[in-house]
Amino acid sequence: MHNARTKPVIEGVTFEQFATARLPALLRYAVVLTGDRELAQDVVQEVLARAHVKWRRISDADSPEAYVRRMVLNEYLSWRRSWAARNVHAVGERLADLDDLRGGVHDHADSVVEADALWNKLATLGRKQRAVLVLRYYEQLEDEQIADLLGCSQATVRSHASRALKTLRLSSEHQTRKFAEEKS
Amino acid sequence: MNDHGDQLRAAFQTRENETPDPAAVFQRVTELSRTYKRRRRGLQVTGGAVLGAGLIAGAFQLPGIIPASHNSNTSMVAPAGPGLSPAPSFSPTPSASASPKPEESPASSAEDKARDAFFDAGYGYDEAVTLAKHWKISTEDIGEAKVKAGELILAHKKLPAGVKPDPAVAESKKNEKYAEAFFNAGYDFDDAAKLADTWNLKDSYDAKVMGGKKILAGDPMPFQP
Repeated sequence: MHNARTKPVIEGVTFEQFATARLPALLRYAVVLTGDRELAQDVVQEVLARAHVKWRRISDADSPEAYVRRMVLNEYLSWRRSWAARNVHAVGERLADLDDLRGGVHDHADSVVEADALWNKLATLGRKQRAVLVLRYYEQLEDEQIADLLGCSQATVRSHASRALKTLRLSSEHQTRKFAEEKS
Repeated sequence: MNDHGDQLRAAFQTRENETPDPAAVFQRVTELSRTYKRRRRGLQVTGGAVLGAGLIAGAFQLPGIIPASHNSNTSMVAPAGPGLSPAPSFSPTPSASASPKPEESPASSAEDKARDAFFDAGYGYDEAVTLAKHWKISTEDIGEAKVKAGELILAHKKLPAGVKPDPAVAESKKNEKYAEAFFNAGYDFDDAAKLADTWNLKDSYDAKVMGGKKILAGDPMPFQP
């Protein structure tokens, strides 16, 4: 989990220092954002390669990490090349498949099962809807910041979030309880 | 945090650590950025500016990835995150700070060309591993297999071991080159978004591709980067 409100202080670092320090966190962010490990890898690789080329400019930014995270978000939202062609399975299934390959080494605690189920449901969302949820609940950004990142109004952000939560059946506490009861 | 916020956070946290290997990702980043730099500068590249992937791989195998200290001109405080702990400091080696070479050697340029040909044809890491096994090349020297395969591709020869390129990837590589030309001309994502509107395209990626085609063809763009 990355709290984007806690701004990292990065000054004068080389690209290699930045990548060494922040690549694992960027990959975690990309995995959560994309729901697909391979896509996360492609997106981060592409973004960092471009960031490397123009690192002097990026390192002059107030927060190079925020700049690169924004690049990751933009790349994900505009990505459609090989991913779209090869992504026969719904987004998210790949990570679910990975679990299956582990030979059933699951933690069967209810909370984990519910989290898994919710993760798979997240794969049914559109990219902007998913991005809004990730930015709001994983990155812990305010709607105003999310609107700025996505280049839309706060009302649009709220609309994306509302529709996404409705799809996930998380639109209200009542529905959440109902969902939990259905599973029990 | 409200109830559904907690549930979503839990769902994200269950999977956030299922990431690709950072060292492998960094290796590919260095390959890609070398390609981008070379294309940007023509035949001139910075031979010494890219850290050896092995060195970085070593750094990623440390228990934590946050540098504890840097030189006097550098400070970095990374945000806290689960599972992250202070790690030994990262010190660039002389190879990282070596003066850029004005031009790469012909041998290096030929290798890069072959490596590009391998990826541009739609092959990837998995095929390189298959070929490395076929040619009895250590998987630690996977780059050697990519170069050897690329040389065969450039010579219009068929690759052994039954490896097949992904046609969708090959097609996407063409578009990547256009998108690359777009970025190399100095345009960025915001420009792509504007151009997508101007050209009535579905998304900004289409704008990157169309913009790159125009740039490479020498056609005028609606605005300068």
